[in-house]
Amino acid sequence: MAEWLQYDFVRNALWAMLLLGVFYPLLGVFVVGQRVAYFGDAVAHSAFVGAGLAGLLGWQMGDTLLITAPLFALMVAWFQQRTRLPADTLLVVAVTGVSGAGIALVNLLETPLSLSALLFGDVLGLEPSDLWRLLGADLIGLALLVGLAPSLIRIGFHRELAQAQGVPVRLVETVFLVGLSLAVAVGIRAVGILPISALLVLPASTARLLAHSFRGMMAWSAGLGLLSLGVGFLIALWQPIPPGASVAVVAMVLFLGVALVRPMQGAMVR
Amino acid sequence: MNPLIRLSDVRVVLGERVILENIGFELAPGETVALIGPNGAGKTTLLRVLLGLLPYHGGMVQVLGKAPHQMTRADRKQIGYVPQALQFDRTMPLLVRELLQAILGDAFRRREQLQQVLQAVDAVHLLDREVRALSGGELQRVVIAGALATQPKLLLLDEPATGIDLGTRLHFYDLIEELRTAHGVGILIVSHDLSIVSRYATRVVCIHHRLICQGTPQEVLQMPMMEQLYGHPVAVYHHHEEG
Repeated sequence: MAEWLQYDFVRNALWAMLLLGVFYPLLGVFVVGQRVAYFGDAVAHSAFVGAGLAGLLGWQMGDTLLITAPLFALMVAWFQQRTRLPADTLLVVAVTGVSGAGIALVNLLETPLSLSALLFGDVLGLEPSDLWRLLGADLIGLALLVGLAPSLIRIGFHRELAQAQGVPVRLVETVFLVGLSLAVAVGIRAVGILPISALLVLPASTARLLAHSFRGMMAWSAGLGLLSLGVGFLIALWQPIPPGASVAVVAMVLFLGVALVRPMQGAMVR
Repeated sequence: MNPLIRLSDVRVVLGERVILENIGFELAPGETVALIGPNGAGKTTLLRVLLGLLPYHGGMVQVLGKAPHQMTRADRKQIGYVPQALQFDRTMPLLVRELLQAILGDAFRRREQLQQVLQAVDAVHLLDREVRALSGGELQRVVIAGALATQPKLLLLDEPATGIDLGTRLHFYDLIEELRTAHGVGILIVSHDLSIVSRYATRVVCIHHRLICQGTPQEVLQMPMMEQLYGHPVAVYHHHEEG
Protein backbone atom coordinates (compact mmCIF):
# COMPACT_ATOMS: atom_id res chain seq x y z
CA MET A 1 0.00 0.00 0.00
CA ALA A 2 2.81 2.41 0.93
CA GLU A 3 4.30 2.35 -2.54
CA TRP A 4 0.91 3.11 -4.06
CA LEU A 5 0.69 6.27 -1.95
CA GLN A 6 3.54 7.93 -3.83
CA TYR A 7 1.21 8.35 -6.80
CA ASP A 8 -0.94 11.51 -6.91
CA PHE A 9 -3.88 9.66 -8.45
CA VAL A 10 -3.97 7.16 -5.57
CA ARG A 11 -3.78 9.93 -2.96
CA ASN A 12 -6.53 11.86 -4.77
CA ALA A 13 -8.65 8.73 -4.84
CA LEU A 14 -8.14 8.15 -1.12
CA TRP A 15 -9.14 11.73 -0.28
CA ALA A 16 -12.21 11.35 -2.46
CA MET A 17 -13.10 8.10 -0.71
CA LEU A 18 -12.77 9.78 2.66
CA LEU A 19 -14.99 12.68 1.61
CA LEU A 20 -17.59 10.40 0.04
CA GLY A 21 -17.36 7.66 2.63
CA VAL A 22 -18.54 9.84 5.49
CA PHE A 23 -20.96 12.19 3.78
CA TYR A 24 -22.98 9.78 1.64
CA PRO A 25 -23.75 7.34 4.46
CA LEU A 26 -24.78 10.27 6.70
CA LEU A 27 -27.03 11.60 3.95
CA GLY A 28 -28.22 8.02 3.49
CA VAL A 29 -29.68 7.95 7.02
CA PHE A 30 -32.14 10.64 5.92
CA VAL A 31 -32.61 9.05 2.49
CA VAL A 32 -33.86 5.81 4.07
CA GLY A 33 -35.74 7.78 6.76
CA GLN A 34 -37.65 9.73 4.10
CA ARG A 35 -38.10 6.58 1.99
CA VAL A 36 -36.52 8.20 -1.09
CA ALA A 37 -33.85 5.54 -1.73
CA TYR A 38 -35.21 4.75 -5.17
CA PHE A 39 -35.55 8.45 -5.90
CA GLY A 40 -31.79 8.84 -5.32
CA ASP A 41 -31.17 5.92 -7.65
CA ALA A 42 -33.36 7.55 -10.32
CA VAL A 43 -31.43 10.82 -9.98
CA ALA A 44 -28.16 8.90 -10.39
CA HIS A 45 -29.49 7.36 -13.61
CA SER A 46 -30.30 10.82 -14.94
CA ALA A 47 -26.51 11.17 -15.29
CA PHE A 48 -26.82 9.24 -18.56
CA VAL A 49 -28.75 12.15 -20.03
CA GLY A 50 -26.46 14.69 -18.34
CA ALA A 51 -23.38 13.02 -19.79
CA GLY A 52 -24.95 12.83 -23.23
CA LEU A 53 -25.92 16.50 -23.15
CA ALA A 54 -22.45 17.47 -21.92
CA GLY A 55 -20.89 15.62 -24.87
CA LEU A 56 -23.35 17.18 -27.30
CA LEU A 57 -22.85 20.74 -26.05
CA GLY A 58 -19.13 20.39 -25.39
CA TRP A 59 -19.59 21.17 -21.68
CA GLN A 60 -17.80 19.64 -18.69
CA MET A 61 -19.76 16.60 -17.51
CA GLY A 62 -19.40 17.55 -13.83
CA ASP A 63 -20.87 21.03 -14.42
CA THR A 64 -23.67 19.69 -16.62
CA LEU A 65 -24.74 17.16 -13.99
CA LEU A 66 -25.07 19.97 -11.45
CA ILE A 67 -27.82 21.39 -13.69
CA THR A 68 -29.48 18.24 -15.05
CA ALA A 69 -29.67 16.25 -11.77
CA PRO A 70 -31.66 18.86 -9.75
CA LEU A 71 -33.83 19.62 -12.80
CA PHE A 72 -34.63 15.91 -13.09
CA ALA A 73 -35.32 15.67 -9.34
CA LEU A 74 -37.70 18.65 -9.44
CA MET A 75 -39.45 17.26 -12.50
CA VAL A 76 -40.04 13.87 -10.85
CA ALA A 77 -41.21 15.54 -7.62
CA TRP A 78 -43.58 17.73 -9.64
CA PHE A 79 -45.06 14.71 -11.42
CA GLN A 80 -45.33 12.86 -8.10
CA GLN A 81 -47.42 15.68 -6.65
CA ARG A 82 -49.65 16.04 -9.68
CA THR A 83 -50.41 12.49 -10.72
CA ARG A 84 -52.08 9.64 -8.89
CA LEU A 85 -49.38 7.22 -10.05
CA PRO A 86 -47.71 5.27 -7.24
CA ALA A 87 -44.21 6.61 -6.55
CA ASP A 88 -42.46 3.35 -7.54
CA THR A 89 -44.25 3.23 -10.91
CA LEU A 90 -43.37 6.84 -11.65
CA LEU A 91 -39.73 6.23 -10.72
CA VAL A 92 -39.47 3.16 -12.98
CA VAL A 93 -40.88 5.29 -15.82
CA ALA A 94 -38.31 7.98 -15.03
CA VAL A 95 -35.33 5.60 -14.66
CA THR A 96 -36.03 3.66 -17.83
CA GLY A 97 -36.77 6.89 -19.71
CA VAL A 98 -33.57 8.74 -18.76
CA SER A 99 -31.41 5.62 -19.03
CA GLY A 100 -32.69 4.79 -22.52
CA ALA A 101 -32.52 8.36 -23.79
CA GLY A 102 -29.14 8.98 -22.17
CA ILE A 103 -27.49 5.80 -23.47
CA ALA A 104 -28.82 6.54 -26.96
CA LEU A 105 -27.45 10.08 -26.75
CA VAL A 106 -24.05 8.92 -25.46
CA ASN A 107 -23.72 6.43 -28.31
CA LEU A 108 -24.66 9.00 -30.93
CA LEU A 109 -21.80 11.30 -29.92
CA GLU A 110 -18.86 11.62 -32.32
CA THR A 111 -16.56 10.45 -29.54
CA PRO A 112 -18.76 8.14 -27.42
CA LEU A 113 -18.23 8.27 -23.66
CA SER A 114 -17.21 5.21 -21.67
CA LEU A 115 -20.39 3.72 -20.25
CA SER A 116 -18.29 1.73 -17.79
CA ALA A 117 -16.80 4.96 -16.38
CA LEU A 118 -20.31 6.38 -16.05
CA LEU A 119 -21.64 3.27 -14.34
CA PHE A 120 -18.74 2.61 -11.98
CA GLY A 121 -16.94 5.94 -11.83
CA ASP A 122 -13.33 6.82 -12.34
CA VAL A 123 -12.00 7.47 -8.87
CA LEU A 124 -8.42 6.96 -10.01
CA GLY A 125 -8.85 9.65 -12.65
CA LEU A 126 -9.86 12.42 -10.24
CA GLU A 127 -8.03 15.73 -10.26
CA PRO A 128 -7.55 18.25 -7.44
CA SER A 129 -10.41 20.37 -8.84
CA ASP A 130 -12.73 17.35 -8.39
CA LEU A 131 -11.62 17.03 -4.78
CA TRP A 132 -12.38 20.69 -4.06
CA ARG A 133 -15.80 20.21 -5.61
CA LEU A 134 -16.37 17.18 -3.38
CA LEU A 135 -15.19 19.05 -0.28
CA GLY A 136 -17.48 21.99 -1.08
CA ALA A 137 -20.43 19.68 -1.65
CA ASP A 138 -19.70 17.84 1.61
CA LEU A 139 -19.56 21.02 3.67
CA ILE A 140 -22.69 22.54 2.11
CA GLY A 141 -24.48 19.20 2.35
CA LEU A 142 -23.57 18.71 6.02
CA ALA A 143 -24.69 22.26 6.89
CA LEU A 144 -27.97 21.60 5.08
CA LEU A 145 -28.45 18.29 6.90
CA VAL A 146 -27.82 19.87 10.30
CA GLY A 147 -30.39 22.57 9.50
CA LEU A 148 -33.01 20.20 8.10
CA ALA A 149 -32.48 17.26 10.50
CA PRO A 150 -35.20 18.09 13.10
CA SER A 151 -37.79 18.73 10.37
CA LEU A 152 -36.79 15.60 8.45
CA ILE A 153 -37.05 13.47 11.62
CA ARG A 154 -40.52 14.88 12.26
CA ILE A 155 -41.64 14.32 8.66
CA GLY A 156 -40.21 10.80 8.70
CA PHE A 157 -42.04 10.03 11.95
CA HIS A 158 -45.46 11.37 10.91
CA ARG A 159 -45.83 13.65 7.91
CA GLU A 160 -49.28 15.01 8.75
CA LEU A 161 -48.40 15.70 12.38
CA ALA A 162 -45.30 17.61 11.25
CA GLN A 163 -47.42 19.62 8.80
CA ALA A 164 -49.98 20.40 11.49
CA GLN A 165 -47.21 21.59 13.80
CA GLY A 166 -46.06 24.12 11.22
CA VAL A 167 -43.18 22.30 9.55
CA PRO A 168 -43.11 23.58 5.94
CA VAL A 169 -43.18 19.98 4.75
CA ARG A 170 -43.21 20.55 1.01
CA LEU A 171 -40.41 23.14 1.18
CA VAL A 172 -38.25 20.92 3.41
CA GLU A 173 -38.81 17.91 1.15
CA THR A 174 -38.01 19.92 -2.00
CA VAL A 175 -34.82 21.40 -0.51
CA PHE A 176 -33.80 17.92 0.64
CA LEU A 177 -34.42 16.37 -2.78
CA VAL A 178 -32.52 19.14 -4.59
CA GLY A 179 -29.65 18.76 -2.10
CA LEU A 180 -29.70 14.99 -2.59
CA SER A 181 -29.62 15.38 -6.38
CA LEU A 182 -26.64 17.77 -6.17
CA ALA A 183 -24.81 15.37 -3.85
CA VAL A 184 -25.46 12.54 -6.30
CA ALA A 185 -24.32 14.70 -9.24
CA VAL A 186 -21.03 15.56 -7.52
CA GLY A 187 -20.26 11.93 -6.69
CA ILE A 188 -20.97 10.41 -10.13
CA ARG A 189 -17.51 11.15 -11.49
CA ALA A 190 -15.83 9.37 -8.57
CA VAL A 191 -18.00 6.35 -7.86
CA GLY A 192 -20.39 6.13 -10.80
CA ILE A 193 -24.12 5.72 -11.19
CA LEU A 194 -24.57 2.26 -9.68
CA PRO A 195 -22.38 2.49 -6.53
CA ILE A 196 -23.87 5.89 -5.61
CA SER A 197 -27.06 4.18 -4.53
CA ALA A 198 -25.03 1.53 -2.75
CA LEU A 199 -23.22 4.18 -0.72
CA LEU A 200 -26.40 6.12 -0.02
CA VAL A 201 -28.60 3.23 0.97
CA LEU A 202 -26.56 0.21 2.08
CA PRO A 203 -24.53 1.62 5.01
CA ALA A 204 -27.63 3.40 6.36
CA SER A 205 -29.74 0.25 5.97
CA THR A 206 -27.10 -1.85 7.74
CA ALA A 207 -26.82 0.81 10.46
CA ARG A 208 -30.58 0.71 10.95
CA LEU A 209 -30.25 -2.95 11.94
CA LEU A 210 -27.43 -2.27 14.38
CA ALA A 211 -28.30 1.04 16.03
CA HIS A 212 -30.59 1.76 18.97
CA SER A 213 -30.83 5.51 18.48
CA PHE A 214 -30.83 8.00 15.62
CA ARG A 215 -27.38 9.30 16.58
CA GLY A 216 -26.14 5.74 16.81
CA MET A 217 -27.50 5.06 13.33
CA MET A 218 -25.58 8.04 11.95
CA ALA A 219 -22.34 6.90 13.60
CA TRP A 220 -22.78 3.30 12.39
CA SER A 221 -23.66 4.47 8.89
CA ALA A 222 -20.57 6.69 8.57
CA GLY A 223 -18.34 3.93 9.97
CA LEU A 224 -19.76 1.28 7.65
CA GLY A 225 -19.46 3.65 4.68
CA LEU A 226 -15.78 4.23 5.39
CA LEU A 227 -15.21 0.51 5.90
CA SER A 228 -16.93 -0.32 2.59
CA LEU A 229 -14.89 2.28 0.75
CA GLY A 230 -11.59 1.30 2.38
CA VAL A 231 -11.96 -2.43 1.77
CA GLY A 232 -13.49 -1.90 -1.67
CA PHE A 233 -10.61 0.35 -2.67
CA LEU A 234 -7.99 -2.19 -1.51
CA ILE A 235 -9.74 -4.91 -3.53
CA ALA A 236 -9.68 -2.61 -6.57
CA LEU A 237 -5.92 -2.06 -6.17
CA TRP A 238 -5.41 -5.80 -5.86
CA GLN A 239 -7.69 -6.99 -8.67
CA PRO A 240 -8.70 -5.36 -11.98
CA ILE A 241 -12.13 -4.31 -10.71
CA PRO A 242 -13.53 -0.75 -10.87
CA PRO A 243 -13.35 0.64 -7.29
CA GLY A 244 -17.02 1.66 -7.42
CA ALA A 245 -18.06 -1.93 -8.11
CA SER A 246 -15.95 -3.44 -5.34
CA VAL A 247 -17.16 -0.80 -2.85
CA ALA A 248 -20.78 -1.66 -3.72
CA VAL A 249 -20.11 -5.38 -3.26
CA VAL A 250 -18.44 -4.86 0.14
CA ALA A 251 -21.34 -2.66 1.33
CA MET A 252 -23.82 -5.30 0.18
CA VAL A 253 -21.92 -8.14 1.88
CA LEU A 254 -21.90 -6.14 5.13
CA PHE A 255 -25.63 -5.56 4.83
CA LEU A 256 -26.42 -9.21 4.12
CA GLY A 257 -24.18 -10.38 6.97
CA VAL A 258 -25.83 -8.07 9.49
CA ALA A 259 -29.36 -8.71 8.17
CA LEU A 260 -28.86 -12.46 8.57
CA VAL A 261 -27.47 -12.12 12.09
CA ARG A 262 -29.90 -9.44 13.28
CA PRO A 263 -33.16 -9.91 11.34
CA MET A 264 -35.21 -8.87 14.38
CA GLN A 265 -34.92 -5.19 13.60
CA GLY A 266 -37.45 -5.40 10.82
CA ALA A 267 -35.48 -5.69 7.57
CA MET A 268 -36.48 -9.29 7.00
CA VAL A 269 -39.76 -11.12 7.42
CA ARG A 270 -39.85 -12.89 10.75
CA MET B 1 -63.95 36.37 24.84
CA ASN B 2 -63.08 35.63 21.20
CA PRO B 3 -63.80 32.07 20.15
CA LEU B 4 -60.79 29.88 19.38
CA ILE B 5 -62.68 28.17 16.58
CA ARG B 6 -65.45 29.72 14.51
CA LEU B 7 -67.14 27.72 11.75
CA SER B 8 -70.05 28.82 9.65
CA ASP B 9 -71.75 26.93 6.81
CA VAL B 10 -68.55 25.02 6.03
CA ARG B 11 -68.52 22.85 2.92
CA VAL B 12 -65.75 20.40 2.04
CA VAL B 13 -65.60 18.47 -1.22
CA LEU B 14 -63.10 15.73 -2.05
CA GLY B 15 -63.15 14.92 -5.76
CA GLU B 16 -66.85 14.68 -6.61
CA ARG B 17 -67.96 13.78 -3.07
CA VAL B 18 -69.38 16.28 -0.62
CA ILE B 19 -67.76 15.25 2.67
CA LEU B 20 -69.11 18.08 4.82
CA GLU B 21 -71.74 20.78 4.40
CA ASN B 22 -73.66 23.19 6.60
CA ILE B 23 -71.20 22.74 9.45
CA GLY B 24 -71.26 25.58 11.95
CA PHE B 25 -70.26 25.90 15.61
CA GLU B 26 -67.92 27.85 17.85
CA LEU B 27 -65.45 26.83 20.52
CA ALA B 28 -64.56 29.33 23.24
CA PRO B 29 -61.57 29.25 25.63
CA GLY B 30 -62.28 26.98 28.58
CA GLU B 31 -64.68 24.76 26.63
CA THR B 32 -64.37 21.08 25.75
CA VAL B 33 -66.39 20.37 22.64
CA ALA B 34 -66.81 16.71 21.71
CA LEU B 35 -67.27 16.00 18.03
CA ILE B 36 -69.25 12.79 17.60
CA GLY B 37 -70.71 10.88 14.70
CA PRO B 38 -70.52 7.48 13.02
CA ASN B 39 -67.43 6.27 11.16
CA GLY B 40 -66.93 8.17 7.90
CA ALA B 41 -69.09 11.08 9.10
CA GLY B 42 -66.30 13.58 8.34
CA LYS B 43 -64.98 14.23 11.87
CA THR B 44 -61.30 13.71 11.03
CA THR B 45 -61.77 15.63 7.79
CA LEU B 46 -63.08 18.58 9.80
CA LEU B 47 -60.03 18.46 12.10
CA ARG B 48 -57.76 18.40 9.06
CA VAL B 49 -59.57 21.44 7.65
CA LEU B 50 -59.07 23.26 10.96
CA LEU B 51 -55.35 22.48 10.79
CA GLY B 52 -55.10 23.71 7.20
CA LEU B 53 -54.18 20.24 5.95
CA LEU B 54 -57.26 20.13 3.69
CA PRO B 55 -58.95 22.99 1.83
CA TYR B 56 -62.61 23.91 2.34
CA HIS B 57 -64.89 24.95 -0.48
CA GLY B 58 -67.45 27.18 1.13
CA GLY B 59 -68.42 28.96 4.34
CA MET B 60 -66.07 30.41 6.93
CA VAL B 61 -63.35 28.73 8.99
CA GLN B 62 -61.43 30.64 11.63
CA VAL B 63 -58.92 29.16 14.05
CA LEU B 64 -57.36 31.54 16.58
CA GLY B 65 -58.98 34.34 14.58
CA LYS B 66 -57.41 33.40 11.25
CA ALA B 67 -58.22 31.24 8.25
CA PRO B 68 -56.22 28.00 8.66
CA HIS B 69 -53.99 28.66 5.63
CA GLN B 70 -53.06 32.07 7.09
CA MET B 71 -51.80 30.64 10.38
CA THR B 72 -48.12 31.26 11.03
CA ARG B 73 -45.75 28.81 12.67
CA ALA B 74 -46.14 30.79 15.92
CA ASP B 75 -49.94 30.37 15.68
CA ARG B 76 -49.52 26.64 15.17
CA LYS B 77 -47.39 26.40 18.30
CA GLN B 78 -50.53 27.46 20.19
CA ILE B 79 -52.36 24.40 18.86
CA GLY B 80 -51.71 20.94 20.24
CA TYR B 81 -52.74 18.17 17.85
CA VAL B 82 -52.93 14.44 18.49
CA PRO B 83 -53.82 12.48 15.32
CA GLN B 84 -56.06 9.45 15.24
CA ALA B 85 -53.67 6.60 14.58
CA LEU B 86 -49.92 6.81 14.49
CA GLN B 87 -48.55 4.91 11.56
CA PHE B 88 -44.83 5.28 11.12
CA ASP B 89 -41.76 3.45 9.96
CA ARG B 90 -41.10 0.99 12.78
CA THR B 91 -37.66 0.09 11.46
CA MET B 92 -35.98 3.44 12.21
CA PRO B 93 -34.00 3.55 15.45
CA LEU B 94 -35.16 6.67 17.25
CA LEU B 95 -35.24 7.28 20.98
CA VAL B 96 -38.24 8.94 22.60
CA ARG B 97 -36.01 11.79 23.77
CA GLU B 98 -34.67 12.27 20.22
CA LEU B 99 -38.22 12.42 18.87
CA LEU B 100 -39.34 14.91 21.52
CA GLN B 101 -36.28 17.08 20.92
CA ALA B 102 -37.05 17.12 17.19
CA ILE B 103 -40.70 18.02 17.87
CA LEU B 104 -40.13 20.59 20.60
CA GLY B 105 -36.94 22.24 19.35
CA ASP B 106 -34.14 24.01 21.18
CA ALA B 107 -36.30 25.13 24.11
CA PHE B 108 -36.39 21.51 25.32
CA ARG B 109 -32.76 20.37 25.10
CA ARG B 110 -32.27 19.37 28.74
CA ARG B 111 -33.07 15.92 30.01
CA GLU B 112 -34.99 17.25 33.03
CA GLN B 113 -37.24 19.31 30.74
CA LEU B 114 -38.07 16.24 28.68
CA GLN B 115 -38.74 14.23 31.83
CA GLN B 116 -41.15 16.95 32.91
CA VAL B 117 -42.89 16.79 29.53
CA LEU B 118 -43.40 13.03 29.89
CA GLN B 119 -44.41 13.37 33.54
CA ALA B 120 -47.71 14.92 32.38
CA VAL B 121 -48.77 11.59 30.90
CA ASP B 122 -47.06 9.36 33.46
CA ALA B 123 -44.44 8.24 30.97
CA VAL B 124 -41.04 9.38 32.30
CA HIS B 125 -39.85 5.77 32.06
CA LEU B 126 -40.21 5.93 28.27
CA LEU B 127 -37.60 8.69 27.81
CA ASP B 128 -34.72 6.40 26.80
CA ARG B 129 -36.81 3.77 25.06
CA GLU B 130 -36.74 3.22 21.29
CA VAL B 131 -39.86 4.56 19.60
CA ARG B 132 -40.11 1.44 17.45
CA ALA B 133 -40.34 -0.74 20.56
CA LEU B 134 -43.28 1.17 22.09
CA SER B 135 -46.79 -0.21 22.13
CA GLY B 136 -49.52 1.80 20.39
CA GLY B 137 -50.71 3.19 23.72
CA GLU B 138 -47.20 4.16 24.86
CA LEU B 139 -46.55 5.91 21.58
CA GLN B 140 -49.84 7.77 21.85
CA ARG B 141 -48.82 8.97 25.32
CA VAL B 142 -45.53 10.34 23.95
CA VAL B 143 -47.36 12.22 21.21
CA ILE B 144 -49.88 13.60 23.70
CA ALA B 145 -47.00 14.75 25.92
CA GLY B 146 -45.47 16.52 22.91
CA ALA B 147 -48.79 18.22 22.16
CA LEU B 148 -49.17 19.47 25.75
CA ALA B 149 -45.55 20.58 26.24
CA THR B 150 -45.86 23.98 24.59
CA GLN B 151 -48.89 24.89 26.74
CA PRO B 152 -51.25 25.33 23.79
CA LYS B 153 -54.36 27.52 23.81
CA LEU B 154 -56.25 25.02 21.70
CA LEU B 155 -56.10 21.23 21.68
CA LEU B 156 -57.36 19.20 18.73
CA LEU B 157 -57.59 15.56 19.73
CA ASP B 158 -58.63 12.83 17.32
CA GLU B 159 -59.53 9.72 19.33
CA PRO B 160 -56.54 10.50 21.55
CA ALA B 161 -56.91 7.68 24.04
CA THR B 162 -57.13 4.82 21.55
CA GLY B 163 -54.98 1.92 22.74
CA ILE B 164 -54.33 3.44 26.16
CA ASP B 165 -55.22 1.42 29.26
CA LEU B 166 -58.12 2.58 31.42
CA GLY B 167 -56.05 4.05 34.28
CA THR B 168 -53.84 6.15 31.99
CA ARG B 169 -56.89 7.13 29.94
CA LEU B 170 -58.67 8.54 32.97
CA HIS B 171 -55.44 10.25 34.08
CA PHE B 172 -55.18 11.80 30.61
CA TYR B 173 -58.75 13.07 30.61
CA ASP B 174 -58.33 14.47 34.13
CA LEU B 175 -55.26 16.32 32.87
CA ILE B 176 -57.23 17.68 29.92
CA GLU B 177 -59.97 18.77 32.31
CA GLU B 178 -57.41 20.56 34.47
CA LEU B 179 -55.99 22.36 31.42
CA ARG B 180 -59.51 23.50 30.58
CA THR B 181 -60.57 24.65 34.02
CA ALA B 182 -57.28 26.06 35.36
CA HIS B 183 -55.74 27.43 32.18
CA GLY B 184 -58.74 28.12 29.97
CA VAL B 185 -57.51 25.85 27.18
CA GLY B 186 -60.12 25.18 24.50
CA ILE B 187 -60.43 21.52 23.51
CA LEU B 188 -62.03 19.92 20.47
CA ILE B 189 -62.08 16.18 20.86
CA VAL B 190 -63.24 13.50 18.45
CA SER B 191 -64.41 10.49 20.39
CA HIS B 192 -66.55 7.41 20.02
CA ASP B 193 -66.56 6.87 23.78
CA LEU B 194 -69.87 8.46 24.72
CA SER B 195 -69.39 7.91 28.45
CA ILE B 196 -66.14 9.89 28.28
CA VAL B 197 -67.96 12.53 26.21
CA SER B 198 -70.74 12.66 28.81
CA ARG B 199 -68.22 13.07 31.63
CA TYR B 200 -65.76 15.59 30.20
CA ALA B 201 -67.42 17.55 27.36
CA THR B 202 -69.04 20.88 28.09
CA ARG B 203 -70.74 20.76 24.71
CA VAL B 204 -71.35 18.11 22.08
CA VAL B 205 -71.51 18.60 18.32
CA CYS B 206 -72.95 15.73 16.26
CA ILE B 207 -72.13 15.51 12.58
CA HIS B 208 -72.89 13.07 9.81
CA HIS B 209 -71.63 14.91 6.73
CA ARG B 210 -73.76 17.81 8.00
CA LEU B 211 -74.51 19.24 11.40
CA ILE B 212 -77.08 16.99 13.07
CA CYS B 213 -77.29 18.59 16.51
CA GLN B 214 -75.35 20.46 19.18
CA GLY B 215 -75.86 21.26 22.84
CA THR B 216 -74.84 20.12 26.31
CA PRO B 217 -74.17 16.40 26.81
CA GLN B 218 -77.46 16.10 28.70
CA GLU B 219 -79.35 17.66 25.78
CA VAL B 220 -77.61 15.80 22.99
CA LEU B 221 -76.83 12.35 24.36
CA GLN B 222 -80.49 11.31 24.38
CA MET B 223 -81.82 8.16 22.81
CA PRO B 224 -83.79 9.79 19.91
CA MET B 225 -80.88 12.07 18.98
CA MET B 226 -78.38 9.21 19.06
CA GLU B 227 -80.70 7.02 17.02
CA GLN B 228 -80.92 9.77 14.40
CA LEU B 229 -77.11 10.12 14.38
CA TYR B 230 -76.04 6.47 14.43
CA GLY B 231 -79.04 4.92 12.76
CA HIS B 232 -79.86 2.55 15.65
CA PRO B 233 -80.67 2.88 19.37
CA VAL B 234 -77.73 3.96 21.57
CA ALA B 235 -77.99 4.21 25.36
CA VAL B 236 -75.63 6.59 27.19
CA TYR B 237 -74.99 6.42 30.91
CA HIS B 238 -74.28 9.93 32.13
CA HIS B 239 -71.74 10.66 34.85
CA HIS B 240 -73.35 12.84 37.49
CA GLU B 241 -70.38 13.45 39.75
CA GLU B 242 -68.62 16.81 39.56
CA GLY B 243 -65.01 17.53 38.54
